[in-house]
Amino acid sequence: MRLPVLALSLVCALPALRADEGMWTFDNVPTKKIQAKYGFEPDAAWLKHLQLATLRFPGGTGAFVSPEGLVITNHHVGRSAIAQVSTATLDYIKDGFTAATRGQEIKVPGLDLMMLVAAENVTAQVNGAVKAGASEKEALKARQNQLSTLKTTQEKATGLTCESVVLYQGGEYWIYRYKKFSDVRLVAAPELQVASFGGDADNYTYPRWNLDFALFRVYENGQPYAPEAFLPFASKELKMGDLTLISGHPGTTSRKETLAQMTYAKELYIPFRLRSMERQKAALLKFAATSEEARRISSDAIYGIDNGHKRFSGQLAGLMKPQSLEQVREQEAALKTAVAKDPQLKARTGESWDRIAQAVERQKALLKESFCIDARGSALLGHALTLVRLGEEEAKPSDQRLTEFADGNLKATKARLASPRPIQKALDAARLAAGLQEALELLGKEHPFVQAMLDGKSPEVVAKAAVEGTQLHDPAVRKQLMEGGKLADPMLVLARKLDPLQRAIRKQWEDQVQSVLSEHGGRIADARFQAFGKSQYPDATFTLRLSYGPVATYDTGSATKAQPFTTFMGLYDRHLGWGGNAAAAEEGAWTLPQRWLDRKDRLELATPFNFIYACDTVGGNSGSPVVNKAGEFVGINFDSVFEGQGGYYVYDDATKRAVAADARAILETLRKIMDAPHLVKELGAK
Amino acid sequence: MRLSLLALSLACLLPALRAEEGMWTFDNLPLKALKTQHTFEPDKAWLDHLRLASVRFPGGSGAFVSASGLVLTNHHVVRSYVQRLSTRDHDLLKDGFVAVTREQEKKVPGLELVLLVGMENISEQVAKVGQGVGTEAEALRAREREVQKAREALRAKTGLTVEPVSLYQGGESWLYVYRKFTDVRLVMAPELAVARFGGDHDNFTYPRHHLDFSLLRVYEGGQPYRPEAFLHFSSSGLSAGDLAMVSGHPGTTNRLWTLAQMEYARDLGTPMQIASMERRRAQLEAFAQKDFDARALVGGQIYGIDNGLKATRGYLAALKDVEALKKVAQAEFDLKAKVARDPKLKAVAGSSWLQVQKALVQSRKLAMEQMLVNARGSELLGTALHLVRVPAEVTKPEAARLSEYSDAALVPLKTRLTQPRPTPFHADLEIHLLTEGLKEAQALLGKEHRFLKAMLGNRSPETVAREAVVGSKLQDPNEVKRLLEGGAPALAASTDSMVVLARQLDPIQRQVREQQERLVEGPLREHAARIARARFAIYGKDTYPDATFTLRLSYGTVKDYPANGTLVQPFTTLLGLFDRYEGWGGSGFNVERDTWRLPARWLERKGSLDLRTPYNFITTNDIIGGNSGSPVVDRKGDLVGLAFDGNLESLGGRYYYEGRTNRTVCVDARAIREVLTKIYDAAPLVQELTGTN
Repeated sequence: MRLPVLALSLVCALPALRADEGMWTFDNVPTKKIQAKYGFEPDAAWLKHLQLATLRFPGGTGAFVSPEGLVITNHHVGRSAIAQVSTATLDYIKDGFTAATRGQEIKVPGLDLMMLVAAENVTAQVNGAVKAGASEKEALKARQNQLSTLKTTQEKATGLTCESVVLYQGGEYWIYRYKKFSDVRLVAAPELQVASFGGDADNYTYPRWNLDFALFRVYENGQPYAPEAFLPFASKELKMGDLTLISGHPGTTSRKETLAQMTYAKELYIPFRLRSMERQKAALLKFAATSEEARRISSDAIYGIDNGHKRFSGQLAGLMKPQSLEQVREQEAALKTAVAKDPQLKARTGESWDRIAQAVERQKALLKESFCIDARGSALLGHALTLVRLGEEEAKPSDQRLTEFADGNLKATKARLASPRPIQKALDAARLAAGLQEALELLGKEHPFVQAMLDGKSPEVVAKAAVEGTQLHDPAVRKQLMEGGKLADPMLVLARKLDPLQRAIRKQWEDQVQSVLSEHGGRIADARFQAFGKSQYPDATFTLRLSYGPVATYDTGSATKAQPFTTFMGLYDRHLGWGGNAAAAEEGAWTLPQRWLDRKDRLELATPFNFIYACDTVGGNSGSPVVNKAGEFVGINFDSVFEGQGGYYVYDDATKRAVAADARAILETLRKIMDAPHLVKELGAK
Repeated sequence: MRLSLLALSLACLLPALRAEEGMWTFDNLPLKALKTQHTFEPDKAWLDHLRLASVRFPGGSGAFVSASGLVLTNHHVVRSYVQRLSTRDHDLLKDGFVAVTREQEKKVPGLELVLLVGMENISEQVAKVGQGVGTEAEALRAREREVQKAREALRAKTGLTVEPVSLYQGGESWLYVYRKFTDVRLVMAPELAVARFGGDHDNFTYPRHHLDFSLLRVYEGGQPYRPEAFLHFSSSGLSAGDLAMVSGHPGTTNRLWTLAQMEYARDLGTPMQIASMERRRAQLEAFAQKDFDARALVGGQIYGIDNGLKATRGYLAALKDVEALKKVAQAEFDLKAKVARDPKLKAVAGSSWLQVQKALVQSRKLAMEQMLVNARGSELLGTALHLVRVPAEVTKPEAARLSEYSDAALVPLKTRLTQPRPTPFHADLEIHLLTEGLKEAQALLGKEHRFLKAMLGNRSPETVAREAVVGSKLQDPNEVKRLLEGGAPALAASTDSMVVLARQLDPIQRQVREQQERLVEGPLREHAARIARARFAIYGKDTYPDATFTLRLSYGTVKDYPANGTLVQPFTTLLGLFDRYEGWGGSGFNVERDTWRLPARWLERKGSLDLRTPYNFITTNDIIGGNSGSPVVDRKGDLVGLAFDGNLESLGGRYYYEGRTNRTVCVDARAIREVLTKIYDAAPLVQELTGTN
C-alpha cells in the first residue's frame, strides 16, 4: 500500500529510541518492545505489583521487601534519617545500626513515605480551563489553578495525598494519588564508610564497592504494616546479559528541551552553576576548617556540592560530545518539517521553537538575578520567607496566590514549615554568608537586592546577626507563627526585605520565561504526539517510572571494558591497594571499619558486590529496586556512571550504566558482618 | 685501551625539567635532584652494580637476578621465543612452562642478550674531523667514517660487541661496549592468560593485573653463567611514596621535535597513520571472519595492530593536549630567543625552525604516496623487491646505496630472507592482503596514478594479486636462496611472477623514496641536528638525551594518579585479579573471546594464595617502549618489581613528560615469589632468587 506523503515522512523522521532508552510511566510501558527483545512481556498484574511495592522517599526511592513492612532504600537516601536518630554517644552513621528486635527499631520523626495508588489523566480538563485567545501568561495561570482545584477535590473525595503531574512539557496533565506512611522506623544500616566507600572520589565511577543500602520498617497503628505488594529477594543468580527492570522516581531530565534550551545549558547555565558550586564549596571548606564540630556538621553539605559538581560536569561533558547536539538538531529538524507540512500543526506550533528561543534570551538576561534573589541556601531564611508570606497569601482567593500557597499546595507548604528536621545554626549562617557574598560578587553592591540585604554591612555580619538572633530554628516557634502568632525576629526582618524583590523577579521569570516554555513546550509535545504517537516517554518529573535493560559492560574512560560485577575481593583490593596506608589517601576514603577487617575471613569473598546495567536512570532513582523477570529483588540502584551523565539531556546507550548494590552482598553482609540473621530470614533468603 | 670510567657529573636540573622527568645515561645521572628530592645518594658501586646487572633483550630489557645467571624479563619480551619453543603437543604459551631441574631448561635458539660493560665518549675525536671539511653533507660523512674507524679499533682491541651511540641528536658520540650472551635458556613462563590477563582491553590501562614476567638462564661454556652483578629479590617490597629506580633501554622518544613537527603529527601524520592501521585491521578482520583457522592465523597480527592503535591513539591524545603543547611552544620560544642572541648559534640554527616547517610542507604533499607506494602488505612482494634490488645495490659504493643494503645490514637481511618459515605459508591470506592493499592504494591515489598503472595495467587488484601469488615460488626459502646466491644473472633470468611485479614497483618506489629523502627526511635530519647542537651548546648535559635503545636510569615514586573520575590506587593485589575474573560472572562466561579467563590451576590453587599480596604497582618513572622488562629497584638496590607497561596517559611521554598522570606499570616482586611457590611449585627458584647461593 502507498503511504500518504506526510505519514511516510513522519515514519522516516521517527526518532529511533536508542536501545533500552526511556523512563516510562506505568500507563505506557513498552511491553511489546520488551517482549520482542527479551522474550518477556510484563503483564498488568506484574506491573501493578511492582508499582505497589515501590515507595517514594524524600528525594529518592525505596521498596517493600517483606510481608511485614520492611523497606529497603539507599543508605544515602536514608542518611539524614539515620543522622537524625543518632545521638552524641550513638553515632549510627559511623558505626552502623542493627535492630536485634522490633522493639529496638527507631522511629524517624518527620519521615514520610509515599506509595502511588492511582494516576488519572486530566489533560482535557486542564486544557479546557484555558479560554480561547488567552495569552501565554493567562493560560499558565488558568492551568495552574485548574490543577490545584482538581487536586483539592480529589483529596477530599479519596482521603489520599494528591499531586499534580505535568508530563511531556505540558503535553499531558495528571493527578497522582498516594498513600502516605508517617510511622517509619530505622531497622538496619551499615557503616557510612562501607555504604559510601571511596567517598566523593569514587562517586559516579565504576568499578565500585558501595554497600549503599539501609532498611526501614513501615508501621501503621503501632503495628508492622502488611503491604499490598513486596519484592522477595531473588532466588536465581543474576548474570551478565540478564534483563533487569527498575521502578523508581527519576527526578529531572531535559531531553525534550529544544536545541536553543540545550545550547543555553551547555554554553551558559551549566558553566555558571559549576562556578557557583566552586564558590560555595570554597566557603564551606573555610567554615569546616574552623573547628572539629564545624567539620562534622558541614561534611554532608560539602559532599552534596561535590556530588552536584561531578554530576553537572558529566552533563556538560555529554553536551560537549559533538554527536549529542547534532542528534537533537536532527530530531528537531525532523519534527519541524512534519509540523510545516500540516497546516493545523503549523498554525499552532509553527512559531513555538522561535518563541522558546526568545524566552531563552530572557532566561540569559535574568540568569544572575533569578539565581541570586532568594533565601541563598539558608533554611532559616527560607522558613522566614514562607512565614512572612503566609498570612498575606491566605487572605487572597486561591487562584491569585503564589502557587505554593494555592489550596492544593498549602498543606504541603505548611508541613514543610512545621517539619521537625533539625537545623544547624552555624552551618546555616555560613551558607547564608557565602550566598550573600556570591550575590554581592555577581550583582554588584549597587543592586537593590544587595543593598536591601546587606545595608552596607558585610555578608558575614548580616548572616551572623540574623542567624544568631532568630528563634525560627525551633519548629514550635514556627508552628506558633504559622497559626497567627507574632514575633520580633531578625530573620523575619530580613525576609520582609527579600519578599518584594523576590516576588518581582519571580513575576518576570514567570511572565517572560516560564509561561512561554510551558505553553510552547506543551504545543511541541502535542505535535510530537500527533507525529509519533505515545511511543515516547516524558522527561523525568520525580514520579514513578519503569526502565529496563540488561546487566552489561561498557567502555570506560580508562579505555578498557568494565566488568559487569564487582566482588568483596575487589572491595578489599581497593582498600589494600594503598599499600597498607589507605588512611593517608583522600582523608581515608578507602579505609574500612574495624569489624570489616576482623570478619573478612568469614565472608564468601567471591560474592557479587555491585553491578552495572543498562537501565535508563537519573538522580531520584536512588534506592530504586532492581528486579528480574520474576519480579524478584536483585539489587538496589544507587548511582550511575560519570560517562553517562550526559543522559540528563541526551541518552547514549554506549555509556548509560546504572550502578546497583547486589542483593547477594546485602544478605552476606547482614549475615556475616551486621549480626542480622533474623533480617536475612525475614527477607526470605536461606 | 682505556674504557672510560663513568664520570659522575652532578647535573643541575633545568628549571623547565619536571621532577622525576628524564631517561638519564649512566655517565650523567641527576644525582643532585635525587639528593634534594629523595635524600638519596647512590655511590659509584651502587650504580655500577645496577648497570652490570641490567641486560638488553631484542626490543626490551631484563636483569640478572641470581648468582647462577637467572635473568628476569617480561613475558611479552620473550613471547615470540616461547612460541617458537612450543610444539603441537606442548603449547608453552598457553600452558606456561617451569623447569624444575637445570636439565629441563630449554635453550632458546636465536636469542642473544647483551650487557653494557663499557662506554667511551669519542665526541671530541669525531668533532675534530668534521671541522673545515667542505659541505655539511661531506662533513657528516667524514664524521660517520671516523665513528666506524673508532668502532672497528675498539672491537679489535676488546673482542667485544661495539655499537656507536649518537646522543643529543649528534651532540655527543659514544661507543658502547657489550658482552654478548648466546646461550640463553627458558626457565619459567606463566600462562599467557595470566601474563596478559585482560588482553588488548586492559593493555595500557590501570588498575592492572598482569603477571608479565619470565625467567631465563644464561649459560657460558655449557655452565650457568656467574654474572659480575645480580639483583637480590627484596624481602620487603615498596610502599606508597617510596623511591623506585628503573634501569633499562628506552627505545625512541621525540621530545626534541619542534612544535611544527608535533603539530604536523597531530593534524596529519598521526591521523593518517591511525586510518591506515584501521584499514589494515579491517582487511585482517575480514579474513579472520572466514573460519576458526583463519582467525587463529591472523589473530596475533590483529592483536598487534590493536596494541599499536591504542598506543597511536594515545599519542594523538597527547598531541591534542593544549596545555602540554603550550609548554613545548614556550620551551621552543626560549631556545629560539637564546639562539638569536648568540651570533655563532644563530648562524648554525637561526633559520632551522623555518626550514623544518618548509620540509613539513613538502611532507604534506608527499604523505599519501609515501604511505601507499610499497609492497602493500604482501610478504612475497616485499621479498621480491629485495631480490630485485640486492644485485643492483651491491655493485654501488656503500655510501650510494639504499640504507638497508649497507655492508652491515646485508648479512642479517640475507639470513632473514632465507631462514625457514616460522609458520606455514598461506596463499589465501597472501592473496587477500595484496588484493586489499592494492584496492586501498587505488581508492586513495586514484586509478590513474602511475603506481597503480604500473602494478595493475588494466587488470583488477584481485587478478593481479592472485596471479602474482599463485605464480611465485618465493614462499620457499630455498628458492629465495637460489636467487640471492645466483646474483644478477639468476635474477635477470627469473620469470617468477612476484619478481616480475617487483620490477614494476622498484623504480616508482625508489623515486618516491628519493623525493621523500631529498625534500623531507634530509632537511628534517639536518635541521634537527642543528637545533640539537644549539640546544646542547646552551643547556649542555643539564638535560637528558632522547631515547636511543641504550641503557638509561630513571627515578620516580610509587604514586596514585587521577583517572576514570577518581583517584587510582598505587597497588593492586591478587584479590583484584580474582575480582576482575569473577566480575564477568565466573567461569561460565565467554566475553570478548575469554579475555579475562584464568587457567585452571589458578582457580584450583586460589585458596592456597595469600590474596592480599601486592600484584602490580605504578610509579612516576619516565620510561617508554624498550623499557619493557626493566628491573625496578629500591634504595638498597634490591629488586622490587619489573616494569612492563605505561598507562594510557604515559603514551604522551613520546613527546613530553607529564608527571601528574604518567605512570609506569610494574609487576610486584612479592607476587612473583608468591606464585612461584604456590601456583608453579617452583620453590627452588624462589630459593635461588632470595638466597645468596
